[in-house]
Amino acid sequence: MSGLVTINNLTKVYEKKKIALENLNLVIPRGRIIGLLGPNGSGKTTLIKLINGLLVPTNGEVRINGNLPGAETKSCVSYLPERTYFQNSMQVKELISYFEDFYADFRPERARQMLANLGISESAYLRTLSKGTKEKVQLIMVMSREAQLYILDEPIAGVDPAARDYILKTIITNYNENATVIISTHLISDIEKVLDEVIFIRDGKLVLHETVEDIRETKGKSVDAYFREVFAC
Amino acid sequence: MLGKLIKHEWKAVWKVPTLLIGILMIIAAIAGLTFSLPIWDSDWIGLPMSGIMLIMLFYVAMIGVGIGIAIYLAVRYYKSMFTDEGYLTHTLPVTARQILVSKVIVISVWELIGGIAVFVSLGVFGGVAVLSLASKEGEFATLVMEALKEVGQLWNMPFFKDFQFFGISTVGMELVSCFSGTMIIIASITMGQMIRKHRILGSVGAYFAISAVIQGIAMVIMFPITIKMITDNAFLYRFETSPFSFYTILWVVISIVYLAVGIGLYILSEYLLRRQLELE
Repeated sequence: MSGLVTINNLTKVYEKKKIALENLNLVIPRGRIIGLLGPNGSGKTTLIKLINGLLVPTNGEVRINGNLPGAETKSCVSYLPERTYFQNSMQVKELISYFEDFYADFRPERARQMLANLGISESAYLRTLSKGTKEKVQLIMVMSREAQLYILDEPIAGVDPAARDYILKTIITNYNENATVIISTHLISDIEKVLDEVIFIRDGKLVLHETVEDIRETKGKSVDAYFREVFAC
Repeated sequence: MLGKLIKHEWKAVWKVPTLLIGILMIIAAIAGLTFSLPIWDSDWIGLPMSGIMLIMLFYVAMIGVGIGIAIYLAVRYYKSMFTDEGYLTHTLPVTARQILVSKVIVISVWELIGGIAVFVSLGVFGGVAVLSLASKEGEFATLVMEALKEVGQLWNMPFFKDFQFFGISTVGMELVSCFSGTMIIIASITMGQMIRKHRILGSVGAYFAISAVIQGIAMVIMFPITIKMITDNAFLYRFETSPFSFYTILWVVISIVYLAVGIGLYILSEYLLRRQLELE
């Protein structure tokens, strides 16, 4: 299986010599749903930001389809950050038009359908929506692209269990089957059922990259139980 | 993609500067209208004072509108590039250069519109004031027309020789100033991001540092020019010689300096965005 994302000797050192990632090597294949797992401060978000070109590596490189992060890679990566990042003064329909203008793979009819399913008005201004609804709008916009790589940073954190189910259903039913989805989360048990592979990171280093099936067969445990064992304090 | 970036940037920012300019025009008209009121003939000092206060308010608004637009656009640049909104800006399938150029164009155009608006507001104030006085004193309009005719005759004086070149160089300097002013804002905020823990403070510090450097460069260049101006007795023209050819040269020199500074700051800002971007 060819690698969609190739990470070579990736190192990121922040100010005051804080090492967030250290010599990370990783190949992320196509057509998989991958859990990016690790305790707080393990380097998950740093890795995601580096893949998206929001940080510059101290050393090493990230390549997506053979390209360094840039305009070309951004046209095939759909990224959901862990924060609300749309301009509050925008209306939902303006967001649709914004995404339509910039992303050739954006499917506005899909976005409208999902918004209608959730009863979110296209005329609504983002500033009038609750935090949870804003997060759903963000997810809808991100999942309405036919991207090659979806990167979802904590997509189910801070939402109620019913919303979690909706979000997971949205991810599963909307992603392109040839695409890869990377989901970073602490809530392993909630997403375990949809994962094909997991990547464990600790202190900026790769601990494990295996299929969920292998973990269940060789360790005789769920990913959640194995995570607790590996990262036991 | 650059066109789309400019379109969306324009849509995101146009409302506040338009509102500020609208307020300026209303204040200009109100200040002009005070001349139609009988307050100027009042024996009680309070009434003419309130008229003067309104005219002063217009003066403050003229200064304030430019500052207001610049501050609003600076905050907008900071928010859209380096806060949560930056996550959308920097994940668009465009280059750092396209993002930066779109911001530079939109901010520069608004700086220019702000400058033009100040001149237009002076026209609004003057026009309304003349009409107000004319409505009170029928002969006033005739007096103004005669005065304007006399001003027109001044064109033939040696004093106004080369005025057209001065006018062109002034317009050129204004255009270059809009660009360099924009680049000072953009470069200050972008450089401020290098102070990771105190980004806003860093931006303010960078603004003062850049301004100080520009002032220093301007002083170095202006000093010999000023000396020459004094030795040539340029101040003593007494309407017999024209100072405008001298000022044309001065404006051209200043424009070149501003342009060089603007281009330098642009190169620095693009480099920082490409090589040093670090969103929180």
